[in-house]
Amino acid sequence: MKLIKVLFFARVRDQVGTSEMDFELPSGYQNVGAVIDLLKRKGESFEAVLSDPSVLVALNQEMANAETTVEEGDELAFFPPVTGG
Amino acid sequence: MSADQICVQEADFDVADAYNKIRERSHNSGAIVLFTGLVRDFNEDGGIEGLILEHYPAMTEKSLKGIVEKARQRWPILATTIIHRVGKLHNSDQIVMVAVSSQHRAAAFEAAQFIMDYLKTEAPFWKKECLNGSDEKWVEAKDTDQRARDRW
Repeated sequence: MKLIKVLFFARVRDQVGTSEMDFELPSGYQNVGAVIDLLKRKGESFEAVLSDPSVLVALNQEMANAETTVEEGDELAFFPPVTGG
Repeated sequence: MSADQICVQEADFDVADAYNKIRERSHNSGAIVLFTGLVRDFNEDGGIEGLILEHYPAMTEKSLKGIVEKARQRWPILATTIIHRVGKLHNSDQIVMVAVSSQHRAAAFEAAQFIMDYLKTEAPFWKKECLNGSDEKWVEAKDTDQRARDRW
């Protein structure tokens, strides 16, 4: 089992109603895609946000995708397309 | 002192001061291009009353550094400055400043535009518009910003 931190920003945070959670990734689950599948089971708002193709994901502050491998202590973040500048 | 300066801050910034500082960091520079972005007082639907700017603190600086590195691989840059504000901003406040120095103006102009185009599509900042009363609305990303980046 791997313990990771999951963060949500901006509109995505408002939708799921939390900015941060600790998450236990059961053994056998290896990558970002697996975390997304498990998080979707946490409720309708998670299911909706994590099925939205525009939502971006970063692992340890670098842009990632479903295939990126997740390790113990990693920080996974979900957020909408950026709008700074 | 590093030739590149990145600041993410709530406080306003002084363009003259930032200009003097990048000038001091740029030896044998022939050109400094300096861009500032301001809060507009309207959006597609009408007037707004300021913005709230949120960011992902641990990732923001990393992302901006990566953008400057990419620009350095393409142009002979001497020094850069990026200042981006976060928190509550009012209409016509300064939001962002990008400055680039180089020996010649073409490189400075292009690199400043490149950095802004990448900042707008990759750096983890999000704007929320304050509307009349207490209404707030997250700003949607624009296709035009994505196309501006893709041309590089």
